[in-house]
Amino acid sequence: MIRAAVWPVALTLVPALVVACGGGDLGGEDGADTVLVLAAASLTDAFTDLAAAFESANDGVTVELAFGGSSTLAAQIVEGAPAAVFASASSAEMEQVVEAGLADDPSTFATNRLEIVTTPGRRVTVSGLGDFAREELLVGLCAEAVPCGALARRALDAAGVVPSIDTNEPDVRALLAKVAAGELDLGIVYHSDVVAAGDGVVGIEIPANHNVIATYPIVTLGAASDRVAARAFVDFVLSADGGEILQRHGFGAP
Amino acid sequence: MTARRVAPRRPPLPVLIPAAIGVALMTVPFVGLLSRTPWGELGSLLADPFVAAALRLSVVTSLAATAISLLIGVPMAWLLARARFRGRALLRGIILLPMVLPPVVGGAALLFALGRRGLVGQWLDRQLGILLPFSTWGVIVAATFIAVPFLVITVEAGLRSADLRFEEAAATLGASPLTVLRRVTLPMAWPSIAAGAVLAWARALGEFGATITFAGNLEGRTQTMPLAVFQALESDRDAAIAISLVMVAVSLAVLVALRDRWFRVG
Amino acid sequence: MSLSADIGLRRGSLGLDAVLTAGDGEVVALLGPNGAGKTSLLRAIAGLDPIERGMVRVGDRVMDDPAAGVFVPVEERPIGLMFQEYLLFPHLSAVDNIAFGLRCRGMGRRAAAATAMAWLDRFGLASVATDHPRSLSGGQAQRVALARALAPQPLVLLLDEPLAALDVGTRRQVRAELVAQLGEFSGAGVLVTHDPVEAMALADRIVILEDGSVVQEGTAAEIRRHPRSDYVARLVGINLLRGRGRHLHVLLPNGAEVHLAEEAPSGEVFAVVRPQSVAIHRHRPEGTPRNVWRLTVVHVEGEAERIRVELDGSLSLVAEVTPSAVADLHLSPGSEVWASFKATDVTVYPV
Repeated sequence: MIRAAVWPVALTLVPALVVACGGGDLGGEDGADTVLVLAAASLTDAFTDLAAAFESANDGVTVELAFGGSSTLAAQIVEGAPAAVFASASSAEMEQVVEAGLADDPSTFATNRLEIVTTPGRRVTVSGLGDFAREELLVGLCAEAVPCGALARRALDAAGVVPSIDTNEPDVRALLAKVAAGELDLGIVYHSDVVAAGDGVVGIEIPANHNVIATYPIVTLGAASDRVAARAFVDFVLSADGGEILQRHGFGAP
Repeated sequence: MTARRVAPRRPPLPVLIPAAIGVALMTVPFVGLLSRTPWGELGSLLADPFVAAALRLSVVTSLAATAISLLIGVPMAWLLARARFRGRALLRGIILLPMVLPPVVGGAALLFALGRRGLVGQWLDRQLGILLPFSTWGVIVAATFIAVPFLVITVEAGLRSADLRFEEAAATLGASPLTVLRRVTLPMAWPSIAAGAVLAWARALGEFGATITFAGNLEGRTQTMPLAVFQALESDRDAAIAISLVMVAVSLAVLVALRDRWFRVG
Repeated sequence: MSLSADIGLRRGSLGLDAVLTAGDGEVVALLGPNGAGKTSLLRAIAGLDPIERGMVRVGDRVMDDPAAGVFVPVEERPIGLMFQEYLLFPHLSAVDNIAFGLRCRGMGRRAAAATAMAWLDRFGLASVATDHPRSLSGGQAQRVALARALAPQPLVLLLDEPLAALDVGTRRQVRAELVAQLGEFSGAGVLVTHDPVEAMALADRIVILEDGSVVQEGTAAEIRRHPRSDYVARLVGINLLRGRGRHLHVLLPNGAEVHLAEEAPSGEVFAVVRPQSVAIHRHRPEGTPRNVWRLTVVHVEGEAERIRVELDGSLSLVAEVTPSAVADLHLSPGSEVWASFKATDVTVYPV
C-alpha cells in the first residue's frame, strides 16, 4: 500500500520543493541580480526608461517593474510581496509601509502637479475645474483611496467645485485611457500622464492657487534579497541622470 | 505484486492524497477570510450606506441581467439545439466566448461596440441619447454579456437530451410548432432552464472585470459588490471582508442548492 | 370518411411499398414480423414521415401526394395516433393530457376540461383525473392514451401495438374494452400488432406485411384457411409446404413428393397439413399413410396436453402429440424418427 502511494506523493512534493528552494523566485535569473520594483501607475513610462538606463549601465542586473495604484501596491507589500523597491505617488502610502516596519528613510525623488485632461476634438468646450460640476459631461476621477484621487478632490475643493462624478477609476492610467478613448469627457491626472499621452489627450492647466503638488517618495524594502542592487537603483533614480529622465517625462524636481 | 484486499469503502491512497491536497487548496482561502472577519462589527458594517448601496445594486443588476438572459438565451439555446444551419458550430463558439475569455476583454469589447465612440454606441448616443457606459444599465449589459453563455449552454444541453417523440405526439394531437414549443418543449425543459437561470444569476452577481471596464465605478450607480470589495480592500479592509463574506455565503448557498443538477444536465 | 393509403418510401434499409385501405367503422389490423415496416406505414399515414411515392387520402381530402407536391402537415391531419409507449405528457395531469388535443383545436380551457372528464368517466378513470402519468398503472395509462387520441374526434385512428406494454392479465381485460371502444368509433381504424390473437380479436380485416410488402389480406377466417407465407402459417400454427402441383402429387423444391387425395391444381401451390394430423413413429410405419418421412427432432415444447414437436429433414414439419407419446418414444432433440400423415389430411390451393 505504501508503494502505491509513493508516486502521487512524489509528484505533489517535487514542485513544492522546487518552489521552496527557489526562494519564490520562479521567474527571473538567480535572485541575487534581480530587483523587483513596485511603482505607482503614473510612473509607468518614466520608470521603464529608468530601468532600461540602469540595466545598460549595470551589467548582469535585471530590474523587474510592477505598476499599479499606490494604495494597492502598499497593501501588497504589507501582506508580504517580495519587492525590493517601492516608489509611491504620495507620502500616505509610503507611511503605511514604513509603519509596518518594512522600510525606513524614504527619499523624495520627484514631484508632480495635477492637470485636467479632455479628449481632443470634443464638441463641447472645457476651460477649467468649474466644468467638473457640469452634469451633462462624463466626468471621471481616480478613486479616493488612490493618491491621484485624493489630491484631485483637494484641488476641486480648493476651487470650490462640487464635481458630478460618473466613475472612480482604480488607477490613473485607467482614467487616462478612458479619456483618450473618448468614453469620458473630463478627468484629472498628473502632468506627467498628459506628457505620456502626447496627442492622445488635451491638457488644461490648473491654476497654481488651486493646484496640488504630489511628492513621490522612494525607498528600498527590508524584503530585498539583494540590498546592494536595490540601493544602487534608488541612488540612480535620485541622481542627476535619473532626474533628467524623470523631467523628460513631465515630473518636477524633488 | 500481491494485491491485498482492502475494505471496498475506503478510497485508494493514490486518489486520496492528491484529493486531500486539492481540498486543502480550495478551502484554506475561505478559512483565511473567516479568520479575518470582524464578527462583532459585522452587523453595523453591513448597514453602512457604502455596503448597502453595493448590495442593492448587485441584487437589482444581477436579477435584471438574469431576466434578460432568459429572454434572449432560451431562444438562442433552442436555435443551437434544434435548428440546422451552416456555421452553427461557429455561432455557438461566439455565443460562448465570454465564458472563456477574461471578463476585462469582454468589457473592452463592449466599450468598442457600445461605448460613446463605439460601433453601435455612437449611433445610440447621437440619435437616441442613450449612453450605456457609466450607467446602471451599463452594469446590466455587462453582466448579461458575461452571464448569458452559462444559461445557453445549460439549456442547450437540456433541449438536446429531450425526447423528441413527445413533440411528435403533440403534433398528432393538432399542435402547431409554436404550440409544441410553448406547451411541450419548454415545460419539459424547465429543469435545465431553471438551472441555467440560477447559474447565470450567480455569475452576474460576481462579475467584476467587464463591469469596471465598461460601466465604471461609482457608488450607488455602478459600484456593485465585487467593485466595492476591490475599492474597500485599500481603504476599509473590514468593509471589504464583510461584503466578501456576503458574496461567499450567497454563492455557496446557490451551489449547494443546485446540488448535482448542474452536472446531470447533458 | 375512409382511409386510402398507397405508400412507397425508403427508410434506412427498409423499402416500403404497400397499399392499405380502411372504411368508416372498419378496423384493419396490420400484422407482421418485426422490421416489416408496420410502424413506418403508420407514421407515413400520420404525416410524421413523408412518402416518396403514392398518395394518402382521408375521405376525398388528399394528405400526401408527392407527385402533385401536396403535403398536409401532421397537426392539420384529422388523424389520431396512439403510440406504443403512450407518450403521455409527463408534466400534465391525466385530464390535461386528454384535453390537450381539444385545446389545440381551439376549445376553451373549461370546455376542454369538461370533455376530458367525460372521457375519463367513460373509462372509469375519474379518480385519477389529476394524477400525473408517472403515478398511473399500465392499464390506466393505456386508457388515458386511448382517450387522448380519441378526444379530438379524428376521422382516422391509428394504434401502434396498443396492448404490447401491458402484462398478460391486464391485456385481456383492456382488450375487451378496446373492442368496445373501436366498435363505437365511427371513423377508420388501423391497428398495428405482432400478436395474431389480438389481430383476430380486434379487427374486421387483417393485412399481413412482410419486408415492406403486403403478403396477404383478408378476414381472420380466410387467412387461417389459406395462409400464403411461412410467417402466417407459423402464426396460425399449421404446416405450410410450397411446391408444384402434378396430378396427385405436390413436388417440393428438394425433390420430395407429397401424396394427395385429390387432383392438385397445376403450377405453384401451397400444401397445408395440420400438426394434429402428423403422427410420429419409432420405426417405419406400415399401413395406409402414403406420406412417410424419416426426420430428426429439432425441438420439443408445449404445455399440458398438447406437445408440439418440430421435425426437420427432407421437409420441415410440426407435429402435435400427447405427453405420454413423447415419453413412450423418448422424443428429444436429435432423435431420429419417422413422421407420417395421410393424403386425405392434405389441403392444396394455388399460390
